Amino acid sequence: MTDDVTFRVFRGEPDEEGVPTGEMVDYTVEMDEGMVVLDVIHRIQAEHAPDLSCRWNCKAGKCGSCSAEVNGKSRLMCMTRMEDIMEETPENTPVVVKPMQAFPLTKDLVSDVQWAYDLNKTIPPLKGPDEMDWKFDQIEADRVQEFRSCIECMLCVNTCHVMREHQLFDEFAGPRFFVRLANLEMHPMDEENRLEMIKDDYGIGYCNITRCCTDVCPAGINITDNAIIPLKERLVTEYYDPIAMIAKKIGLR
Amino acid sequence: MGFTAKYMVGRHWTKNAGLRRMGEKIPLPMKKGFGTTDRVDAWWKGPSAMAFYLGIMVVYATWRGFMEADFWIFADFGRSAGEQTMAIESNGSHVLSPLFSPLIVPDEHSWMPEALWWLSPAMFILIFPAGFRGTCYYYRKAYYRAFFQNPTACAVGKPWNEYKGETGLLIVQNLHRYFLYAAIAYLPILSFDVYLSMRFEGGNWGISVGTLVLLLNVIMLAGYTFGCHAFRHLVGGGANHWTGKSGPTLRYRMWKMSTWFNERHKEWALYSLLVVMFADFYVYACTDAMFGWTDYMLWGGI
Repeated sequence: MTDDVTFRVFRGEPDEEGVPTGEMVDYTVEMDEGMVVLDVIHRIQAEHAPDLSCRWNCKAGKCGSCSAEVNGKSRLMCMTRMEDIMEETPENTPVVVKPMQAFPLTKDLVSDVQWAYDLNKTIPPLKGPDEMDWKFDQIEADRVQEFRSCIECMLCVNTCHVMREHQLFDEFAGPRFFVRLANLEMHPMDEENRLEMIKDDYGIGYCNITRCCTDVCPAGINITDNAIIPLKERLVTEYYDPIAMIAKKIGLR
Repeated sequence: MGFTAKYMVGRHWTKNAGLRRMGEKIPLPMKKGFGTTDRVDAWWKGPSAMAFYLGIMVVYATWRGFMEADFWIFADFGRSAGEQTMAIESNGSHVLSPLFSPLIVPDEHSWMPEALWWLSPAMFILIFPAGFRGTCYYYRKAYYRAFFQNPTACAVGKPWNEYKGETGLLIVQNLHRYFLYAAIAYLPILSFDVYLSMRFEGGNWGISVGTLVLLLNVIMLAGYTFGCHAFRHLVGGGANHWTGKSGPTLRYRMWKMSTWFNERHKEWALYSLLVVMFADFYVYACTDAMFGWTDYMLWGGI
């Protein structure tokens, strides 16, 4: 028998002071073969809690809406299979589902990621030649193409300890935006230079490359090796490598 | 429901709120404090195993470095007692341990002042490979997690409230590329050691097990060095334009090659370290009576 599953879901809203306040509520529902976590949440909505809030859209891992913490790990609920969850969850223990906790709470499983929209506007966009007959080779396009597969689910930001533990949202741009910055900085037609911003405003030095962002990325972007470290290396050439700095002074670079 | 512990929540929700006591409603229970997490997998295994592995490697290398020093307890055996364990000498060939290569023995024959003669030959040359690994982008992750708990694992509470990342003292990590230059210089030196292990008296050639061990060591270190993130940046990753008149440039090809190694940088980093230590242990075991190993000849060498 026992194809039932118990979910322990956070239910709550911010109080008058903005502190997310609520409780962990247990729901038991029947589980069918092939379900993902989001299906179980929908069944809980249908059978027990019609007022349970969660954000979702495409159910195909492309819209980046259903980000949550399932058993403590940042994941897209629609791409997390129940068979994997049941395998990792100890027996007779509920599956714990919480909203992304690095961000302020809106309600239940919905987090407020307004920060991301605001920060995004501060990044100087691509600036290429006015004449739009841009030509560059596929090999140059391939490198930046990886960064364009970002779905902005913010799971990387949520799991990054700089954000999660230290809440450095004002000093640090977070993995998602280093991916965007890498996309712009490595673009073959781009003429803008954002390196000083990356160092001072976006605080890339706070990243200690412990790779949690890469581990959770549902788009499979190699954030650490392909975006953050190459940006760090570009900064080294510009600001920390004495020989490269002298070479620039005397016009060799 | 069922939550009795006190929970803290992130800074930006709590400017005026502080810690709340559990009532009918609780703050979103983001667990804070060392090792607290909702994760149910064995997240502590990785960092524990890494601390164990790196710890053993560091202790072994330190011990071996000191063994060839000439002071205090080390005066009774090893180099100072006339029984060096740095190289297997046989018929004019040398199988030199990579921990002591290039071999600079501080004694009356060297350019060193007498005050430094007590030093082990490993002490000044190991600074470079140790610095290369110490500032390596892979090892940084490994030891920030395993030793500094910064963080121990993803989405697991840290013991620290203050955090500077690599903006404070650790800004020196940015000099990784200088250690890379030194590491590149080691490759021909270690290759020359392979050659020396094959040259015997009277111009004869030979191959022993020790030769193969040294050769494997060079291959592993080359794989580790070519996948270095700084190397990948310097050979081509720093450029945005990779096409010349006749197709992809050399920079692109070099970057592509380095990327292949870079994707397996973790494996190269960990296994090459093991091979270096094993190569040294092989030489040690073949030269110290306590182990009494023999470096078998596979071909020639007479």
